[in-house]
Amino acid sequence: MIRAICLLAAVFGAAPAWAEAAPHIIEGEFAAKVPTEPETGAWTKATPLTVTLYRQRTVRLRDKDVNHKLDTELGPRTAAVKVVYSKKQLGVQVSWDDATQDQLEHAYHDAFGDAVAIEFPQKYGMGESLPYVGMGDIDHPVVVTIQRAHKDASHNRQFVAAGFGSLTAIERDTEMKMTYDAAAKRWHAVFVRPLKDHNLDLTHGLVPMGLAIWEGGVHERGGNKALAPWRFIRLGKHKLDPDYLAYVSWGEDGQPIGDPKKGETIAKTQCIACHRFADQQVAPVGIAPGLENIGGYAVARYLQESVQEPSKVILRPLNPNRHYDKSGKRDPHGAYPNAVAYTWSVPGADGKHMSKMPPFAHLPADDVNNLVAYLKTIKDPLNTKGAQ
Amino acid sequence: MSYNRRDALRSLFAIGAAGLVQGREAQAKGREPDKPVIIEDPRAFYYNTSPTENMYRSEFADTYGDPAEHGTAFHCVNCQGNCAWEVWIKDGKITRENQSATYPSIHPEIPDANPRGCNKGAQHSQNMYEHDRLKYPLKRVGARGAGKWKRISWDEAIDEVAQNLYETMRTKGPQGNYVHLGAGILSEARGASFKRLGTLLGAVRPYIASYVGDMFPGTSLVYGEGNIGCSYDFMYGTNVQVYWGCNPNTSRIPDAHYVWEGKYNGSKVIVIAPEFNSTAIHADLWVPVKAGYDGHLAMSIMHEIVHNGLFDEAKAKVFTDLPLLVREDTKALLRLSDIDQDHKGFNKALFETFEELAGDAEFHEHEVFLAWDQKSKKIVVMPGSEGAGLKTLRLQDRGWDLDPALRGTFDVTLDGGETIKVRPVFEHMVAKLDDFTPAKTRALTGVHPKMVQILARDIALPEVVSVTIGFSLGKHFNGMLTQRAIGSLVALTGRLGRAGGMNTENEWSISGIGGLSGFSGKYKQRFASGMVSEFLLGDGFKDAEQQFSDADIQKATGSDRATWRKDIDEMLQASKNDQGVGHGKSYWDTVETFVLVADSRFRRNKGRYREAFLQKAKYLCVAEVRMSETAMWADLVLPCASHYEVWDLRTNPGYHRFANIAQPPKNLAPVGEARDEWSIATDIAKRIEQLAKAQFKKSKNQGDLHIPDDTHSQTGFRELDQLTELFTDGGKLGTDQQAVEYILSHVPQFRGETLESVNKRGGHCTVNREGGKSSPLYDDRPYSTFENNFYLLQPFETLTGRLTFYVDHPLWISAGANVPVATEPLRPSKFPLVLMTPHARWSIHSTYKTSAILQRLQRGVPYVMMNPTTADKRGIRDGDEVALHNDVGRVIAMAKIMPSIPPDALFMEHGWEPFQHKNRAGHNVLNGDLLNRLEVSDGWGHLKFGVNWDGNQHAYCGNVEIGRA
Amino acid sequence: MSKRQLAMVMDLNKCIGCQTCTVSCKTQWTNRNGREYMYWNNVETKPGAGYPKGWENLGGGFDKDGNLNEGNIPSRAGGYGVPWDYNHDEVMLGATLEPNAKPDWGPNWEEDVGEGDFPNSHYFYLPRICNHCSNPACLAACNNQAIFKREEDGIVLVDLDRCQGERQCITACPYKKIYFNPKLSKSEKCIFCFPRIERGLPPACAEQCVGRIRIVGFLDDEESKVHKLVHKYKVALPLHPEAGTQPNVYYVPPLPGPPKLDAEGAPIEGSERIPLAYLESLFGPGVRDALDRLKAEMERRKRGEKSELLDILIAYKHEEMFEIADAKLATQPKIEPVMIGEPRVYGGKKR
Repeated sequence: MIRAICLLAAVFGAAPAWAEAAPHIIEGEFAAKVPTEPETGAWTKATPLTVTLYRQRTVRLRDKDVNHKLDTELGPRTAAVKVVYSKKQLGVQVSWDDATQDQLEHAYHDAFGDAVAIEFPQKYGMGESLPYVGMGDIDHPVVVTIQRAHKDASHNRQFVAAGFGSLTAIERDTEMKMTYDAAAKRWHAVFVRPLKDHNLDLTHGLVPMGLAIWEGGVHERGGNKALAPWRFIRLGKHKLDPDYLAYVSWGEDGQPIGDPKKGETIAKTQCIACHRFADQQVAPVGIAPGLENIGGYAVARYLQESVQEPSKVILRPLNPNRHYDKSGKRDPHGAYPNAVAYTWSVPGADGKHMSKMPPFAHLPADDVNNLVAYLKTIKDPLNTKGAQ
Repeated sequence: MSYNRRDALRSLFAIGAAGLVQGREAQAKGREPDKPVIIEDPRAFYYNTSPTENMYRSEFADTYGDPAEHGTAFHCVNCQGNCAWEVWIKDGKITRENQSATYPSIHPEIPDANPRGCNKGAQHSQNMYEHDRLKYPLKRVGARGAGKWKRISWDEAIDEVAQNLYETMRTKGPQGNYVHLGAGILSEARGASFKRLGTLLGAVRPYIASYVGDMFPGTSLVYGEGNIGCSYDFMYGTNVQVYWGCNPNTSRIPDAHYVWEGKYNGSKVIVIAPEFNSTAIHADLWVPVKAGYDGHLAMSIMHEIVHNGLFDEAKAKVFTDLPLLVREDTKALLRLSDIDQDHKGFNKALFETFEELAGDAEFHEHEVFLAWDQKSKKIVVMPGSEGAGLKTLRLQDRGWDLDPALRGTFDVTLDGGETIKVRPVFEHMVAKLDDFTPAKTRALTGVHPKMVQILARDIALPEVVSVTIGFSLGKHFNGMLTQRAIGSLVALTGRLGRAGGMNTENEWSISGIGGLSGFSGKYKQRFASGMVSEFLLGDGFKDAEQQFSDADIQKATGSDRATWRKDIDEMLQASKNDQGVGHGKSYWDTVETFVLVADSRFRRNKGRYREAFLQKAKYLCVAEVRMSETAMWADLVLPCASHYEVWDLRTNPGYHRFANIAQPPKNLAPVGEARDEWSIATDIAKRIEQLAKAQFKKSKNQGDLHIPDDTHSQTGFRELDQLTELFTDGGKLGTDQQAVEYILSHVPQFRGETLESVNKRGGHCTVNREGGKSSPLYDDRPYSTFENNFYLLQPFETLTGRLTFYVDHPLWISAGANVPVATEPLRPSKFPLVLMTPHARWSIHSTYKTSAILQRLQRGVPYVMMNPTTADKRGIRDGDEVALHNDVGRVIAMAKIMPSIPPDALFMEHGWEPFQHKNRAGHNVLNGDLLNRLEVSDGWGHLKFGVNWDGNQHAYCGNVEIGRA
Repeated sequence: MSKRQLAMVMDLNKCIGCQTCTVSCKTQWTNRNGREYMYWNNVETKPGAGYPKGWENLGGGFDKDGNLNEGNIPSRAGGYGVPWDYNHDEVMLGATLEPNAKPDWGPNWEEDVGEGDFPNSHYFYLPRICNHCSNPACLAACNNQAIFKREEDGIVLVDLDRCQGERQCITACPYKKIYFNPKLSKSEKCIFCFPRIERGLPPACAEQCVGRIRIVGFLDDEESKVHKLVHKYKVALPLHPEAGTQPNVYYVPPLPGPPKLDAEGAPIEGSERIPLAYLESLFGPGVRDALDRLKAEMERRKRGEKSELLDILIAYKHEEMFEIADAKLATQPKIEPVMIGEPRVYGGKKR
C-alpha cells in the first residue's frame, strides 16, 4: 500500500519518468482530438511505454512447415505504445519494428499478414479478476479489435471473446489504420474507439489493455502470436481507484514478490503432471494450458489467482474436437465422442463451469508467492535470436 | 488474375452481415453488451448456420436464375456427341449449363442415356464470353495474318462479301467461288444455311468428312456405306465389345458409360490400340498393336478364324461375295455378260426363273455375278447384285435352292466359246491370308500369336460381338485398307443386326431435310472430294516430295515414285473441274474467292498448306465464333452467334436416338453484333441480287444477271435476279428459327413434334421408327444396322449386293488389293518415332482448345506424350520444352512423360491451334501426306465418288525425332 | 453429431476421367471470387501425386489414438500450381496465346501417367470432393470453431462470419479438400451443393457425371443405395480410412485391369495390373473382399442371374441414383439478392 501511495504521488507529480517507475502503466495524453494518422498531433506529445510481447505457446500451430520457425526464429518483440484520449474517444498507437511488410494478398492463399490487436475486458476494477490475457476466459469476456496488413481495410474487425474458440464478430466501432514506414522498417497502428459504449466503459482512471502482434512473415496467425501481459492505461481525467492500482501492480512494478528458486521446487512437484513448462515435458500436450512463456504474458496477479482460485479464470480448451475418444461409443455416422481428458473444465452442479485444476488455496501465501515468482521467470530471454 | 475492387467490398460486406445483424439485435434490446458465442461441439449443433447457408443459396440463385427463362442447347456441333443441355441465365447473361438429363428410358432394364454431355460442353457458358470471342465484323487493314483489323458495320461487311462473290461469278463463273461450311457446324438446321447459299450460287464445296479425314471408305467398300453400326446402348447387351483404334473413354465421353455398364452386365471389353489408353485401363483385354499395323493384325485374326473354321460358312454364302467366281485369267469377277449362257455348265433355267420373278426389273449382265452351285453342279446367277433384277440374297425360295461353293476350281465357257478356270473369291482371300499368319505378322504388329488366337475366338464365337473402329485408323496412309480388313474380318463372322458387327458411326435416316439445302434439283452444288481438293489447294505434292524418300513410297504404295505419280496424275486429270464431274474424285482448280464458315483449315495446316492456299485465295472471308487460326488470316471476319444464341436442330450421328433442339434462353443479351449463319447467308443472297440487278441496269448484259452454268444448273444459268426469292423459299426460310421449324414440320422421323412439345421435354425429341436405315428402330431396343439384310435378306448397297471381299478394279488387282490385304503405312523412315495425334479429351478439335478452364486441366501449353525410355535416351525430363522435327517442320511443345505410351511413338492430342505453339507451328506441319491411289481410284461398282466413297486426309504420315528445344 | 448423413459413392470402375464433374463444379462455384485456383471437385490419376501435389504426404487427420495430427498448407506454386490465365485479347491482334505464368502443376497435371513400364503400366482415375467426414479434421483444427456439420444432413460448412482465415483447417484436412480464399480471407470448400439439393437438384458433380459413377443418398437410410453399397455389400470403401476422419464419400475400388503381358507379349492369366497393395494403401484392408464380391456378382450376372449389387452400380435410371428427396426444403428460405461476388467469366463483360 505504501508503494501504491508513492506511485500516486508520482501520478500527480510533475512529469515523472513513468516507464521506469511503472513498467505496466501507460500514461494517457489528453487532447481535444484523437488523431487517426499515426505520429501526428497529440501522438507526438504522448509518452510511449515500451512493452515486451512474448509468443503465446499454449496455442500451437498445426502447421508443420512453420512450427519450427515459430519455435526457433521468433523470440519476444517490443512495441512502443501510446495512448491519447479525448472526452469521447480513446486512441491507442502501437509501433514496432518489422523488417518485412507482410500483407495478406488477394492472389496468394499462403500469404499471412502482419497484424496487431488490442483488447479490453468488459468487466474490470476492484473485485473483478483479470481475465486470461489471450482472449479472455469463460467469465471474463473481452472486446478484441484486430487490424491486419491487407490492401482491403475491411479485414479489420472487432470481436467479443471469452476464451479460445469464442471469437465472435461484432459491429465495428473502432477506427483503425495500419501504416508501414518503409524507411524505418516500422509499423504504426492506430486504434480510435469510443471511450464508452454498450460493450465497454473505459472512463476509469486505470484501464487494463491487452496487446498482441502477429508476424505474417513466419505465418503467425490466430493464437500463434506475441502477447503482452495486461498493461494499464492511466487516464488522468478520470477517477483512479488506488486499491485497483495496487491490485494490478503487484509483481509488475519491479518489486520482488517471492523466491523463484523455491517456487520452482513447488512447480516441479505440484504442476508437472498436467502442465508443461521449461524442461518439464511429462504432461501430455493439451490436457492443461502449457506454461511456456507464461511469465512473459501473464501478470503476477493473474497467476496468483489461477493458483489459488482456478475456477475464477477458466480457460476453454483450445479446441475440444482435436482429440477424439476412440474407445468411446461412435454415433451412427461413425463420429467419435471428444476425449474428455482434453477439456479443461467441467460443468458444476449449478451448470457453471469448474476448472479441472484443483484450487491450491491450501498453499501457504509464501509458497504461492514463490510459485508466482517462479512462473514469472518462465519466458524466453529478451536477447533471443530474431527478437524484434 | 483480375478482380473488381468494388465486388470485393460488396462481398465482404455481405460476409460481415452476420456480425452486423448481431449488433442490431443488441441495439434493439437497449444495448446490452455483446456476448461471445461459445460452441461446444460443432459436429452436433451449431448456433447460427443461416448466414453462411444463405450466402451460398443466394450465390446459387445467381447462377440458376429463373428456370422459366432457361434455354436448351446442344453445343459442340462439331462433336458427334449431340447432347441436350439446359442453359441457365441471369440478367440476360448465360451463367452456366447443366445437362437436360431428361431423355426417356427406352427399356427398364437398359440404362438410360442421361446425362449426356461432357467437360467441353459443361463450360461453353464461360467460353462464349471469352476475350477471343468475335463480336463485330472485322476487316483486315494490314498484311494477311498481321492481326491488324478495322471494325466495320454489318452492311459494309455483307456488301464486301457479296461484291466478291458476284464479281467472281461474273468473271470466272460459279466455279470461281468456294463456299464451305466447315466441321465447326455439323447440325442439320444451322448447317444448311451456307450449304444452301453455296448450292444456289453454284460454288464449290468439298466433302466435309473426307476433308477432315473422318471417313470410313474401307467400310463402305465392304458394306456399301461407311456410317454403320449401332446406337451405343447396344453395347450394354453385347458379349464382347472391341474398340479398335479408338478410345471411347476419352473421345466418346457421353456414350462411354454403356461400355462399363455392359461390362457389369457380362460383356468382355477388348481394346486394340498402340497406347494403354483411358479405355484400356478398365478393359478385360488390351492388345498393344504397333501404330499403323492394325490391318496386318486384322488379316492375322482372319487367318486364325478361317484356319480354325470359326466362321459360319452358310452365312458367308448368303451375305458375302465369297462364293462369287473369279476368272483365273484376268482375276476379274466372272460376270453374266462374260459367259456363254447356253452352255450346259450354266444353270439357265434358274436364271430364267429369276428373270421371271424380277418382272419388269432388268438384269444388267455386266453387274450380275455368278457362283458354282454344289447342288446343280452348275454355274448359277447370284441374285441381289446391282445389275440383278431380282433383289434378294435368298439362296433358297420357292423355285430355287442354291448351295454356292466357297472352294474349288471350275470350268466356265465364255461367250466366245473359250473355256477358262474360275475359282470362288473365298479361295483368293484364303490364299492372301497365308501372307498374314500370326507368326508372320508378329514382327510388324508386335502382337503375340496367342493374343491373335484369343481375339479370333472372342470376335468369332460369342453370340453378340460389336467391333468399333475409330477415325484414327483411317488417318494412316494405309487406313482405307485397314478399315476394309477389319470390316472383312467382321463380315466373315456373319455379324449383322442383333448379333452385332462392325460399328463405325451409325447414322439415322432423316428424310425431308434436303429442301433446306437444295433446290429440288434445279441447281446442283459443285461437290468436291475433300481429300483431293485439300491436297491440291495446299500443294501437297511439294511437301511429299521433301518428306518421303523413294523407298518410303515404294514400301507404302508397292510401286516407285514415278509410277505412283503417273497413276495419280491420270486420275486427277480426268476428274478435274466441271468436265471432270462423274469421272472420279471431283475437284476444281478454278477457285479463288473463299467464304469459309466454322472452318479450321489453317489449324490443320499440313506442311506448308497455308502459304499455298493463301496464294490461291484472292479473297478470303471467314465466318466464325471466335478468333481461330483460320480467321486470323482472313480478309474479312464475320462474327457468328454461338450455340446458346441460336436456334438449331441436330439428329445425326446415331450414337443415340434423340434429336436435340437449341433454343436461346429468354431475354438473352446479345454478344456484340454476332449473328446466326442463316441471317448472314440471307443478307448475302439479297445483296448479290441487288448488285446483279444494278450491274445489269448499267451494262444491259444478260450475262451479268443470269450467270451461265452449263453443268450444274438445269436452266443453264444462275438466275441472280431471283436469289432472295429462291434462298428464302418465298420468305419462308431466312433465319435459324425458321430452319428449325422447317425441319420439325417436314421430317417424317419427327412426325407430330413441335417446338412446344420439344421444349417441354427439355429440348429434345426421339427419332421415330422411320429413322432406322437398314434395321427398324424399335421403341424399346437398341439399334443395330443390317437387320433388314439379315432377316429379310435384302441386298446390301454394294455392287454384288453382298458384303464385298473382292474388288476387280484393274488398279486394285495390280496392287494386290483385289482381296483384303494389309499394306505398310507411309512414314519417313529416316525419323524414328511415329507421331500420333488422336482425338482430344479436352477439345472438339480446335474448339475449346483455348479455354482457360480446360487448359488448366491440362498443361496450359501444347504437350507431347512420350515413354520414359524415349525421353531418357534424349535427356528429356517431364515438363521440358521440346522440339519435334522432321524434314517438313518443327513443332515446340512441353514434354509429358508417361509409361503408357509405346517407346516407338509420340502422342499429341490433336486440335492445338498453331498460335498456341511458340513458333506458331501446329503438329500437322510435321505431317506431309500423299494421295493413296486406291483411295483416289473410282468408278468401280459402288466405289463411286460420293458421301460413301471419297478418301481421307491422312494425319499419321509424319515420323519425327524429338529433342530438348 | 448430425442427425442424418448424406453420402456419396463413386464407382471407380465406371470413372472415365472426363472431368465433367470438375468443370461442372467450377462453373457452379469456383470460377469467381478468389476461388479461381480451387477445385472443390478434382479428378486425379492414380498412382500419382494428385492435387494438390502430394496431398497424401501433407499430413493432417488423426493419429491412431484420435489426436489431431499436424499438417502442411500446400504451397501455391508447388501444391496447387499457379492458375495461369491467357492473353486472349492479344490473340485478337495476331499474338500467340500464352499463359501468364509458367505452368508447372495443376489439378490434372499427371493425367493418364500412372506407374509401371510399358506395356504393363497402370493407372485409374480418382475423383475427389470434400468427404464431409463424421469426424472432420478441419473442424477439429479450427481454433475458432467456425466449421460445423449441418444437423439435417451432416454437410460440413465453414461459417464465413466466424472464420478468421487462420488456415489450421487446411493443415488438418488429410485430403487437402479445404482451401483458403485469399480474396475473402476465409476458408472455403465443397458444400455438397446443398443449395441445389434443397431445390431438388443433386450436387452438380454427381448429376452431371457422364460416366454415371456417383450415387447420392442418406447413409442412415437402410434402403438407400449408398447404405447398401457401403454396409450391405461392403464394396464401397472410404479413402484413406487411417486418417481417422470417417469420410462420407466412398469408392468402389477399381478392378485390376487387363492382364499384364509377358516378355513375349502374351497375356498373363490372372495377373493383377493394378497391385492390390496399392489399392489397399488407398482404401484400406477391405479392398480384397470388395473386389472379390464384385467379381463374384459379375460372374453371377454372366450366368444370367439377378444381382441387386450390379443393378445398383449399372443404374438403369439416372435420376434414381440420387435419393435426396428427403433433403429438399419444404419451403424455400427467402434469399436476399446479394451475392458475394461475380463469376469470373473469362474475358467476358462483367455483369
